[in-house]
Amino acid sequence: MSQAGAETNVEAGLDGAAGLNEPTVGDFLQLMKPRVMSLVVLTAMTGIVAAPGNIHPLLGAIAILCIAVGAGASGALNMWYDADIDAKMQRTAARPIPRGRVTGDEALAFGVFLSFASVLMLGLLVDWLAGALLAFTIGFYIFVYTMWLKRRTPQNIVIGGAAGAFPPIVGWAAAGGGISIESVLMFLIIFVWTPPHFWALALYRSRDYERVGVPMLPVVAGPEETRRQILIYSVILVPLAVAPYFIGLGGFVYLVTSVILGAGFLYYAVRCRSITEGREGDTAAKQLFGFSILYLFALFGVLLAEHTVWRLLA
Amino acid sequence: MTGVQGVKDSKPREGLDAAERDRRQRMRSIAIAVVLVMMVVVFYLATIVRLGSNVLNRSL
Repeated sequence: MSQAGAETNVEAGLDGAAGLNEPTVGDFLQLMKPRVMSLVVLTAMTGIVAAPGNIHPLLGAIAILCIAVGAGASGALNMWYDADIDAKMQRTAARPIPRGRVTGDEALAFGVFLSFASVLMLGLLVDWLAGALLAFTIGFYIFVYTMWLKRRTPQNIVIGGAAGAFPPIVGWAAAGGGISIESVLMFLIIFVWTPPHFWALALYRSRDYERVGVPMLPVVAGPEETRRQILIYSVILVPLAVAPYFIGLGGFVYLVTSVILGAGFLYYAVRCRSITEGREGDTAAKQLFGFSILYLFALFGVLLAEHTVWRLLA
Repeated sequence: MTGVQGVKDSKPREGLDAAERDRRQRMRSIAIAVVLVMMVVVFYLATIVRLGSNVLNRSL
């Protein structure tokens, strides 16, 4: 979206929406945050394939669908609740509610329906523990993160990040593996990855957050402290991401990938810590943000590929 | 309703001609129909999968 367009939306805010348009199917899909869903699908699928036991492929596909829809429901409810601040932030001003393409009521109804549908379908058709974990995940994201923490504490995404880390646990449970050390380790990797990922974004979007009063770490503690915290979490994350190899969850390819990409992650985190001024500082934060996405996709992609191959060869 | 965040839901839907509005409504209706049919199929297939060979094991 162009800068000018974003500014216009920011200025317009909710009141300035030029009449509500008839929403398209695409508007509702956009409410589900499809890019976030793609990561959820990958991590949930990894949990399902890596879990012991043999889930029927159809039930596995249904589980992935339900988890993805549950994540989409969380996205829609998040957009419903945050519509007021989304309208004033450049990054989110083009979302369907601030643009006046979908009403708050429609987003709420859509999110609530999808939440119940995804949880009930997962429970009825696949596994009730998985269904309960999905319900907990949606509830945690909406009630704990969105409604409680996000506007109150700079630790919002540290604690709230748990919601985004749950999909592999839900997937593992859906495959009949219950809750185990392996699925908890996958949870921890995403959980520790989330703060450096979001704080890198917040570093170059801090004015947005400041404008709407969301106490992200760069707004409250300043960019210097944020860069320091990013480095600390990165140092914890990299060995944690190598650990699946040592408990038999990942194979040799995973070990090599996690070590090489871990070195890359640390490189970008150190760079982000050391280049602090002006446009170059923003660029360093953007590079870390971009690399963090690649990092997590690659880790879980390799885990998924390894387990798929192992299953085919077994 | 004025939502939790003050979203004005009662605004009239403007700015579209009737044909475009009808087209969008039709597309939404089709999407809902497709989702409902898919749900029926998914429930049917999942039931068959879960019952497995027991589906044939009943008294006539």
